Amino acid sequence: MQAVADTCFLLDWVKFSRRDLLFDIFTTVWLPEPVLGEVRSEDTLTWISERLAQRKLSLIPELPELRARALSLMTAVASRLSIPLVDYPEAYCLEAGRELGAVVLTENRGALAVPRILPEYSGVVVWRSLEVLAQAVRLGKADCGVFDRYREEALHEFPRRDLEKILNEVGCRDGGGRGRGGAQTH
Amino acid sequence: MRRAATIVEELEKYLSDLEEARRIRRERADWSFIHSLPPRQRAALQYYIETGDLYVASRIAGMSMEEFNELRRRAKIPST
Repeated sequence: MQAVADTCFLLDWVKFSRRDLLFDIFTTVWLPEPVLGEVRSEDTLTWISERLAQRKLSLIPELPELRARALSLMTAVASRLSIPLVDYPEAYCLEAGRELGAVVLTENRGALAVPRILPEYSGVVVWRSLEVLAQAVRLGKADCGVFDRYREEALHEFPRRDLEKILNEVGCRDGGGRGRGGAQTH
Repeated sequence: MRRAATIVEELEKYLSDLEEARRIRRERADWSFIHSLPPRQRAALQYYIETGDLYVASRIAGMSMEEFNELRRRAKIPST
């Protein structure tokens, strides 16, 4: 299974001490070139360049064709729904994911909604860190504590209803995601 | 008809999730830190709290997305 990572996903994910879990789930994670351009810190750049060298990450150039389709997607969504559901980076990743048949990794709610709203994108699979962590638990690569650990290390809150649903699905109802804030599960 | 119903349900969930996320960002933000910042960074963080849009917020701040994400963490605003 392959994935395309958006900037908003990647910047939180790299703060996670178990960030290499990503490669227990995906054989290749594609990084669009504009995503790489948003990274400046030595730690993140080192991690990315090492994984590029190991061929776990691969770079996608910013292609004019995908760029044009991403802009069309933005305008199509905005005109149909009267709300700007996706920005350019997420739109580009959705187009790249559609082209490659890869899972799109993003934290953007608009991008998550697009496959369910636009029939022509119904085949595109979009995951957030929540779905990635759930898959790691399903595969036995992480335990139920991984959700709380991610929330603390990435300073990230999962939507309460989605977290509850995932915890039930993976059998972690009493063993994970019991942290602070608006996403409490009890 | 089913497609229309799905879109309405999806939009309702989307808007509800946005409101929950906005509330969490407002409640958890370190407002004294935010008010101590230069106007451009302050405006960018306030925009982020309202929208959760990292890309546009980073452009308001005049930073890369990663640099802005670090500012977000310093301001104790969870990404949601």
